[in-house]
Amino acid sequence: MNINREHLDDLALGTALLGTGGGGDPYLYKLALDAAIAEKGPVELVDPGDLDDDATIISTGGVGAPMIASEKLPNGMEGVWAIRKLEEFANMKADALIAAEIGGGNGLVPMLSALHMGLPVVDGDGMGRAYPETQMETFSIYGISATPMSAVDEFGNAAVITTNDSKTAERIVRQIGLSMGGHCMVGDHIMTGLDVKNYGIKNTASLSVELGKVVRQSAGLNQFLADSAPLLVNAGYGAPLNLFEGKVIDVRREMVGGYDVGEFVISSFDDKHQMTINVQNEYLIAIVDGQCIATVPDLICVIDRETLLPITSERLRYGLRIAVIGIPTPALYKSPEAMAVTDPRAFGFDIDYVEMVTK
Amino acid sequence: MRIGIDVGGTHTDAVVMTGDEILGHHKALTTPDILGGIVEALAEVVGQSGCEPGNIQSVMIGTTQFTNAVVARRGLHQTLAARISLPGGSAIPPLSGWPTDLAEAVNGGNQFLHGGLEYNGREFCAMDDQEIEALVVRLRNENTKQVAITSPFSPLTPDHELRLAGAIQEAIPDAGVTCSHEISGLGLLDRENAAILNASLAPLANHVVTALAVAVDKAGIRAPVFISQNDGTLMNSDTAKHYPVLTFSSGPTNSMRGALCLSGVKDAIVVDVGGTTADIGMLIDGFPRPSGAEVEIGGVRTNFRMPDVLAIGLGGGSIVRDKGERIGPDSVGHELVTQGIVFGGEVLTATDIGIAAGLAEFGDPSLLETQEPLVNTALSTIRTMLADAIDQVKTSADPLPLIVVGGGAFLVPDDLPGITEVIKPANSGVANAVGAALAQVGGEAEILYSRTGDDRTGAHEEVKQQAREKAISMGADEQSVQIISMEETTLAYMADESVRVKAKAIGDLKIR
Repeated sequence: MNINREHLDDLALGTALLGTGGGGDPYLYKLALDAAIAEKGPVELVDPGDLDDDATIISTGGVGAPMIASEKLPNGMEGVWAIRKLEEFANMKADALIAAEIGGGNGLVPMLSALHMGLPVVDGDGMGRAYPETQMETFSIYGISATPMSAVDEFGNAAVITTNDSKTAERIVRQIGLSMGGHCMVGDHIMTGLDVKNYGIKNTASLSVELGKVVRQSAGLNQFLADSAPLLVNAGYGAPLNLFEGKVIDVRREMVGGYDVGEFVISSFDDKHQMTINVQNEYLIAIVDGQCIATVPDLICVIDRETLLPITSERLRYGLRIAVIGIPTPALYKSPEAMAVTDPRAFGFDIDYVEMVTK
Repeated sequence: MRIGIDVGGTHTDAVVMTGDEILGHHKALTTPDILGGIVEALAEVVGQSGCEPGNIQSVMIGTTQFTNAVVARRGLHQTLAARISLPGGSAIPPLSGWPTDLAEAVNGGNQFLHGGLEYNGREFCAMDDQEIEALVVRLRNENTKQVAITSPFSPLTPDHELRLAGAIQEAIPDAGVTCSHEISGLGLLDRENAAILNASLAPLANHVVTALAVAVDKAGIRAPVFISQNDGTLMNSDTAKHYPVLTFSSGPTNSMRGALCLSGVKDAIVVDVGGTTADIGMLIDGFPRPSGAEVEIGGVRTNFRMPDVLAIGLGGGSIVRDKGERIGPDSVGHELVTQGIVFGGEVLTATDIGIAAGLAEFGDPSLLETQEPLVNTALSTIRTMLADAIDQVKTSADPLPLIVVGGGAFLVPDDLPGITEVIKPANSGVANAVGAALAQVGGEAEILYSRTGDDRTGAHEEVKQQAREKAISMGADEQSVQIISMEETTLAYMADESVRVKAKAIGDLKIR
């Protein structure tokens, strides 16, 4: 499929849902993409299955604080320069771009760059959701080097880093972004079409558009669950589960190590059960009445119970009536090597991964 | 003595007050020229109070005129949007995301310039004198008078916006220039939206505020005129001429501040029951709780501090259906006095239910033939609607008092879950004008500091001092100024843990 202007509202809703509370508000990139499509025509989405095995694919996205990104709006070329710098350094040419993460505004970033470069965008990404760090991308997990990695600002100032592992690349690029005023555009994971076929989370861009449409058109929660299930299953996720419905009764937030860390308590409408959700930018763990019922790497999404609009973690506040929806992660995150960097212990919790259950 | 005036779309209300005591109040119809309604209301209340116009010390006015102008797309001027952000920003030009008709009503072109500062004040890019000169020439050639200037992080460091504004005003003395840092906080696009709306409204604001002053003068009152703004504080009338967007949400704010004055309760839920909706908000330490989400005005996203108000379709004119199971959201509105059953009409409204239940006495109750089960069901529906909405507005499970104002106050039951006490103060019909009369003046400031590199106490002291100075410059009595809120946010994803800290100061208006 192609991404046209009329898809953008749905795309932004769907990427916000898959952002599992994080990933940033896709609103600004939605506007940038709208202007770019009006000028240059639609974004060409290519199905991973249609890629040549030896095609060259680069993953891309923004790194930095959402507050900075909300002041320093893009000129639209930063992502292009990041890819060109990487091409120059590694002496290759990209045949297509792919999102590092589909969740939040970063799901839209490669589309803007690809429009300017005349390239297609792979209908997929390296997370199937949003996570805070590079080493959590499937591409890194399955052995593709995150580096060489380019980082570029709006002047075209660029850095290329090479490291021995993805976690180190993540630490260094964060410092580079800071020296670029708190935000930079990144190109990384130079890989082949075969790599994307093997390790990418597939069809997540078209899935986001379809999910956004379901959010917008559903008459209520049950219809949303029923109508989104075949879409998610078809894309390799599990069917969504209604984990909990209730009212937010407690919100605790603090900043630890540059991340939004917090705990939200939701009371069921009959006041008989309570859910606690632990957060590090994204919703990570859900516990009901002392029993852990859902954890990363499965997706824990919070939506408004009436409007069904996704609610990001910084917007969650007392009194909101919400539904907590669980979406089982695609199979690529269930392997031992994926679990090692994305299970609750990878985030510092003394909790083992549990298969998602309803209570 | 003070006078409070609320200039709404339909009614112009006025009150004369000394301290917290109401000496006179009157409701007049708003006239198309604004002037007539105020002149009538002023003459009436001054007469009632028996005081000499010369003894009035100040006049405070709340108005929804500018919000209405944006919503109706009338009285707006073509504005050029200048953004100092190159080489960044061009992917999302000014007016992105605006409704087409509103964008057309205000669009006087846009101009990008090189420049801008980082969050820490470092110059991101130098400004270019030739670009500034070219913009001046363009404004002259196109005869554009209204300009909105925006630059990254200008609420923290406004230097570049000020430099461009200075150059334009020097070359074109009658230009109307709005700098974004003067009216709104971080979030460039939302702030720019507000600046453009402001610049396009400024000529109308000049006209309306001048009319207000003339009306006050005609009444023989020789006191300063103040206008109430979004957060319940006041600005002087000169400021209002330049920053009309700051009045956008003063209606609900004044009704909540008025409820505070009429009841004397500083922490409470407030419900204002009008003809079509019940607007429910929360007072925390005497101020309306601000909204957390983006606020849209006429379809445009802005980042103003506005009161968090939940409107539900329950008012005096709300239509009752399904044997009382369903009420509203549609309403007969101001036609209640002809269409309601007790007024001889044929539509069963919430007011008819209230009268059948003996909660209020007006109209002709003998026209009612409603059966007792229907009335009881409808009362129970009203109760459920209010209880659910109140629960949604609360920020904690602790019970709070409920203050009820507005013409439909009689519909609110005397006890509700999660409510300690239902307070229905006297004169609640003019709560908005009372809120205007008792407003205070305030100032806000925010800065970013690095948790790892900077001194936290020093940063807090600096932001508090900035807020105090702003409040004093707005007319607050220095002795009464106090810091009423400090809000600290660490920025996610930032490796050096930048912390944003906001301070707000308020004080009593210095009365000469």
